[in-house]
Amino acid sequence: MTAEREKYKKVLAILRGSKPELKGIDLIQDNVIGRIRKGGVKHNPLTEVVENLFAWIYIGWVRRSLVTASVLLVVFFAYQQTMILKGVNDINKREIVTGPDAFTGTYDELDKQVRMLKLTSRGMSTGGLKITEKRIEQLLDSYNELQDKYIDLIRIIEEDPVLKEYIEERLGEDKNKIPNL
Amino acid sequence: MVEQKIIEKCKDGDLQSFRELIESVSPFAFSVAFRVLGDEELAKDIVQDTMVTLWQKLKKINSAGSFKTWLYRIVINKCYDQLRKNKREPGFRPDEKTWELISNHVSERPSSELENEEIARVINLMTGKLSPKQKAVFVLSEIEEMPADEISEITGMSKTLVKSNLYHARKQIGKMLDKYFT
Amino acid sequence: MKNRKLKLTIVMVLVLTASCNDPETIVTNIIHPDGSVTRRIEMKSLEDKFRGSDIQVPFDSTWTVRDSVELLDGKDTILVKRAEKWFASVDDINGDYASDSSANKFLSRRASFTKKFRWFHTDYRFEEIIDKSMKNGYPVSDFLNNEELVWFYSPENVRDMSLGGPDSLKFKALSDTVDSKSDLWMIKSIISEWIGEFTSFPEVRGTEGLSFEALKTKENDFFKIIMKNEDDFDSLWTNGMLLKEFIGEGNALKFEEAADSSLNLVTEKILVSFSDYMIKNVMPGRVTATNGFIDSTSTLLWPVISDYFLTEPYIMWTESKVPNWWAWIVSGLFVLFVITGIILTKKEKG
Repeated sequence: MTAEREKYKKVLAILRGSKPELKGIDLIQDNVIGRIRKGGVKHNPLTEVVENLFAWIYIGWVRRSLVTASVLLVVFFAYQQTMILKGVNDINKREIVTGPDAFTGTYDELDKQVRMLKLTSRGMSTGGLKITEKRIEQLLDSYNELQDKYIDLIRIIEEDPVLKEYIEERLGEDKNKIPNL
Repeated sequence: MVEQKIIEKCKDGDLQSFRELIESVSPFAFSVAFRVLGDEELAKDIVQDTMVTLWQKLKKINSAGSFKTWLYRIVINKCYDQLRKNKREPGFRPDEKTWELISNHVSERPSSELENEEIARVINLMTGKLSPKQKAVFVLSEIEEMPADEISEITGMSKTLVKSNLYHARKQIGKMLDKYFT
Repeated sequence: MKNRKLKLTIVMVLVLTASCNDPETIVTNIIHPDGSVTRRIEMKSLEDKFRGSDIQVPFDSTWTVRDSVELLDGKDTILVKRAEKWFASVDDINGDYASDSSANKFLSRRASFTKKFRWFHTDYRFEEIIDKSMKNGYPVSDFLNNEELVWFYSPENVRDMSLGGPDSLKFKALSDTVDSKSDLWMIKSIISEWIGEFTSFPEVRGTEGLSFEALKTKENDFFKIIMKNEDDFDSLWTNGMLLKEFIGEGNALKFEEAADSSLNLVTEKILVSFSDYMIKNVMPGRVTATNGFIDSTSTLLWPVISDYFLTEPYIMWTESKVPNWWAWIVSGLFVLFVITGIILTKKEKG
């Protein structure tokens, strides 16, 4: 290795010591000035603007910083878009509900209310049932309305075999089927 | 290398001052171009093109200090273009006569300088297998004896890359010397 | 036994009538990018008029209100009331809730809106929250697994579709499981809430062995006692037997009134006068996450049912994103600029 290094140094010494000689500087000067005068060398404003705009490419750390910033920006964008697509796909897979008329006054809701009232109905066994006159009127109005609607209801049930079977099953259940508390 | 006032006069369009500038900087430009390309005529063409380009970019040069960097940067870039064109020419072939020349200079005529043609032959022999970047780094660092910071500014490579290219250049040249130079 | 059946019948009728009186209400929130909200309330009723006590969501004379009569299935006439108002921010909606005199005035309800700038997009989040009724109840998620929770929160017609579909047996079994587990949840929450109410009574506080923490450690025992005597709960409670087993004879006698009052308080929370309704949200931009359901018009909706906010706050939330096109353009130009610079660098270096 040392011998190789020695050879290398010797050759370098030769090259360093031997400076190339430029002959004909006058000719070079004339040619250059001639080319400039011919107008082939104009200060193009557009080229200048472009060169000014991209002067940063010659400065290493600026170039590297801008490239890093661009890469990070692209990665961030790709990540955001992926997350959005994932969220949208998850939502598209969700159950579709049709019609707004299925959310109020459901049978299950009624069922739960009855069960809760059963648990706490001991409150009614002492001191009597307190009910306002307004409630009684509402009760009577609703009772009359129920009577009117009863026939419609029976007809609907009769016409739908699945519904009829379901209702018969529920009515046929003994008290144990209604969850005890 | 050149005075600030000359640069300012050239910026104002003074061709006479520019002529003076050419006279003072051309030898430096030629030295680098010649050592990179290994051809006198090509190097002269590079010098001319460099001067013309320098005239166009004068407005960007703010100080005499940055002038040197600009000059060498333009020269190196034009050398790269030339080397790309030269890729299509026949590849490197070891030259027995040139090795003899080197041996003679080392052993018998250590103090004498080589002629241009001889320099060209030695350069071409030594750097024939190097890439354009390795060649440029080798010339600027080992022959022109510029520091890594300056080379980094001129070539646009990071300091790490400059050192890496230099390492590979030395290794390659070392192998050549070991093989052919006894 | 007869007495009980009679009471049950009366109760059922009362509840039925209460349900029949409730109008069918849909609240639609149209959320705008600046945080303002256009709120629309649509109420439909088979009654001949709307009563103030029937209104589930508050509105007043500052709203634009229209009444109309429409035909349902070509037979029954229904009353329709539509109210609309623009709110500058959710704070105004919360103000309406604070001065709520509607049928659901006993609830604590609020809305919230957040907007976050995320360069390529702006993220929006809108929530309507109903605070929980019980302080010490258990979250229903402690009792139900993920599949069961989905069933629990599903609207009625989604359940009906599943029960009437090809996997009806599986969904029937799921439905039964959810029913029995949610009964368990209800009972345990009632017990826990009762303990909370009972131990907060001034006369009970400070009594040895009757601190909240002490009774909580015996909660499971109390639960077992109740389950063992479920058929006779009414009488056993009335004569103090259950209470004696739980807190000892001495304490049962001493704090009988407090125990009864606590149970009344708990009962009020469960049987809070609540009239259910539905909420729909329309968000700016593209919806990316929600805990609601989606209908065929891509509108987000939530049923609002009392069970949902019994033991934990019911949060109806949606998140959406709106692209900031100017940021896309700026970023694109920037990246293009850098790429051009790199290409020029490569060209110069050769």
